[in-house]
Amino acid sequence: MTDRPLLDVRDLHAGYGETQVLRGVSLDVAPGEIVAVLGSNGVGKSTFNRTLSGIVRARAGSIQFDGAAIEHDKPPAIVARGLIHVPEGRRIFPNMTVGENLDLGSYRRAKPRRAQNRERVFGIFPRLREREAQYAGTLSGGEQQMLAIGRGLMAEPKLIILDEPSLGLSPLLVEELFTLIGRIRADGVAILLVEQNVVQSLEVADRAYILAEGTFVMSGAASAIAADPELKRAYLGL
Amino acid sequence: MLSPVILIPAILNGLLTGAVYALVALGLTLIYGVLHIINFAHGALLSAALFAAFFAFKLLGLDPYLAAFLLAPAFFALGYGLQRFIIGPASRGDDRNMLLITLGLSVVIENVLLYAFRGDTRTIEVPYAFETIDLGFTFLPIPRVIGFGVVFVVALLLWAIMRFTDTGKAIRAVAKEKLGAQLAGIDVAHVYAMTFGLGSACVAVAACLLIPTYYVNPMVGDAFVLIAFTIVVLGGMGSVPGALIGGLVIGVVESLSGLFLGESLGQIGIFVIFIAVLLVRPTGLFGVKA
Amino acid sequence: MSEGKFPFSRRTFLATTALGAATVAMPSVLRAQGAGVKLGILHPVSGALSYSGTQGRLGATIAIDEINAAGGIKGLGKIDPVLGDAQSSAEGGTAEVEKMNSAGVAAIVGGYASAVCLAVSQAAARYDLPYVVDVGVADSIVTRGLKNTFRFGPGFGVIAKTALSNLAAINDAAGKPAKTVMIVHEDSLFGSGLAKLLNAQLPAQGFQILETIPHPTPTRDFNNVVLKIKAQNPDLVIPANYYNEYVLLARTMQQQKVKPKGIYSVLGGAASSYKFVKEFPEAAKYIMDCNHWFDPKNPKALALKKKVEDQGQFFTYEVYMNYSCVLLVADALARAGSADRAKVTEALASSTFKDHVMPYGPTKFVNGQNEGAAPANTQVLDGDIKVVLPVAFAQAKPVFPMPA
Ligand SMILES: Nc1ncnc2c1ncn2[C@@H]1O[C@H](COP(=O)(O)OP(=O)(O)O)[C@@H](O)[C@H]1O
Ligand SMILES: [Mg+2]
Repeated sequence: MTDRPLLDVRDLHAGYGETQVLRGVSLDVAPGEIVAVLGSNGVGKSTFNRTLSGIVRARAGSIQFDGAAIEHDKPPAIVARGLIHVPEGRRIFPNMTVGENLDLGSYRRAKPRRAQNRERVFGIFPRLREREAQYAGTLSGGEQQMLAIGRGLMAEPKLIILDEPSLGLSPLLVEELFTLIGRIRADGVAILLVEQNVVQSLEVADRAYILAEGTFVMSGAASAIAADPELKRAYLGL
Repeated sequence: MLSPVILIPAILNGLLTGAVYALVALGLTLIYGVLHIINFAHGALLSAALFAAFFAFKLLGLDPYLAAFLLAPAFFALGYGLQRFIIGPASRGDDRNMLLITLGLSVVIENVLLYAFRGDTRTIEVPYAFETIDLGFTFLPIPRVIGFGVVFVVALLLWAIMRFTDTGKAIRAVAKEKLGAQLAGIDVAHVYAMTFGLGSACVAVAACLLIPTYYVNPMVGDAFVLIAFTIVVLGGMGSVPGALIGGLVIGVVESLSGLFLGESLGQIGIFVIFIAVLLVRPTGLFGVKA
Repeated sequence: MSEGKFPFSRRTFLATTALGAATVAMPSVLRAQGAGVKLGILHPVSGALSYSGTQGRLGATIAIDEINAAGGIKGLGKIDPVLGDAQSSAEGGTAEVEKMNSAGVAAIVGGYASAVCLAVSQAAARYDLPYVVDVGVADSIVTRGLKNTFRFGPGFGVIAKTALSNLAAINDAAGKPAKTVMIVHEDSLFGSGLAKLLNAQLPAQGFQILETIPHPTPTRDFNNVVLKIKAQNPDLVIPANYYNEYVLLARTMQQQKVKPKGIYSVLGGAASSYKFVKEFPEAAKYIMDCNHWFDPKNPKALALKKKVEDQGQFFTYEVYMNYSCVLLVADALARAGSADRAKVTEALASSTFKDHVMPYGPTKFVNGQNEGAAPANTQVLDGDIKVVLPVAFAQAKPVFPMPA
């Protein structure tokens, strides 16, 4: 851990209309770190991610990223800073080719190095190179997830948020995915990993937070949380 | 009546007319494809563009085909500004509101035109307005042949923008996957405005193609937009090639049904197609299922 | 028709509900002699008919200015115009009548469109307010027994009848070169009504009607119509449509090099629009029309024409018809010697006014219709519009058939 965190969230509140989803959450991520955010369905993990990327407005609290306050920034500005959110459900552009999807990953950031970043992504996900000219909508679920992550990597993220990347993948593919997550971190990218797949997430993560009832009820070293059966039963339904 | 002497010229006429319909429809379908709204102000913008082309000729002596180079960017800017500073903000984040705002906008634009220029119908006289190409069995009016060519150049240009530029890719991305686009750092408000601008620029070019042989009054655009809407549905909502092919098809259908059923009923052919498409293939010729 | 819309609308024959006995006697405004007299000038100066309405208002105000410059109406003083906007609708016209009545006008001139005229005449009748129709040609305007309503110009029936007999006369004089006819008409009341009339009457005059082609308003493309004309090659084309479509039809015929022996229109031709002749001299050549027109031999008419053109406006029939109507009312006011509505109505009914600019016979109102009113036949000759019939007013002989 370095002294100054890359992402530093303090007492964040957010929600939709009357619904208050986040009621004061705090979290930090160091450069190059993998932090897992765990919690059962519907507790607000995706809402937390959307608030970080500016899609959902923060109602109170602060978000510091790379030394700047971003809680009032719009999504394009946040992307420009290098905080990239790979959303739940992939949200790739089905009407465009794999290549075009990757191009748009560098729409706001790292555009001059588009060609070399594309090679880097192809290095990580060789399947995407084979499918470069194919429409993204015709890819398999696993390939679409790789494309979504690849599109995120095109922006040379300092921190990449992966929201449920293993959702809907076969066990074999899930295995492969977690291996790749390790590779991405090896390139120096910090990762905020939101997963229902608790066991594997805790294996790959450095630290983990557990979200329940609008706040982080627990945080600590991933290994410690993995070792606490009580905790896992109470909050993660295991 | 069925003799080729009439039939073939009628089909050719339909194609030439249809091309300009297609251009108006192109703007409409583009805006629909990205913003998912029917731009009710499209007709009023066409009327405004026709007035602009008219005055460019009358006051500046600018030939309509040259004026297109001025009016296309001007209407691009106008469309951009309308969406960015009026329609977008006034819709307060709910895209459905945009529909109503464009409706209001059309009323405002038409009435401003009516107030400024009265209900008077105006035409311009260009030397080539009556020039024709003699095909032996019929005469093709040169302005319409030029119009036909320009429409395809514009369509090609639009295709290239959509295909090869980041802006074009961003527009396509927002059209199908707004959240994904936002997370890629695409400014959706900007893309909406760019799209509205491009749609308006199409209208400006269409106006420059029409004015040499057509007339302008504050309500003139409405008639075109009804047809353009049919084309958009026929070609597939949001489909650019659909608008092109649809425009030509509707042009020929209108021409032939006008020939066989009479001009009064000619429009019926169009609306029969409209309803048939909705019944048989609601996604249109080139539309993809949602 | 000179510009824009024809003074006829769908509502024309809908608005003929019988007038109830609700004629309220209003105390006439007592005014000092020579203190001036208010005159309602009512036109659709906004909305779809705004061009025609504005032209009408122009003619009326020129007449008022001239009268006032000459010292006003004898015994009554200057005319104080109360300008109203019928907003191109019957409702708008009715509302303006209410306002003008409250303002104490002695009479109302204007209306332009038949639908507006019908509504205005009824509203004015409620106050026994004399109303002079400027243009509206629907026959029903003067056939409802309204004592307050006067039409100085000709109605539809007279125009159509004159158009037919003049056509036959022109053809006969040329040795009957035209035998076949195609009619191109707009498909609402005006065009369809006319087409029906022509279909009924032309065969008796020795013409064979090859085809009658209706088209909607607006129609954006006349290529197919012209193709049909070209294929059947009639001697005569009779268009009956509004200005925009007329222009497109004539231009397309020129474009497709379709040259019948004559183009003869009724209430709608280029031959009564200086604008068309100026903008499309080639397409307008030799076109004939039977329409409202001024007396080209009347110096007063020519002075008015110059005045209007010096203002940069076209000398359309709305201008000189309104001009004449205001003069007619001024004459009646002078003879009535007061602004009393009953007296003015009386003076209008017995009018034999001569000092107008129209090619009419002696003014004589029968049931509100001026029996002397008639349309004129015009033809585009030498880049100008010339009256060719009636002979008494003609500036030139009709050129028929058109030279190739
Ligand atoms: N766009 C939205 N509008 C209103 N409520 C929402 C919206 N998105 C999510 N929610 C609600 O917010 C809560 C948290 O949702 P979410 O953040 O998606 O949970 P998680 O990702 O942990 O499954 C849920 O109750 C959900 O119904
Ligand atoms: Mg979620």
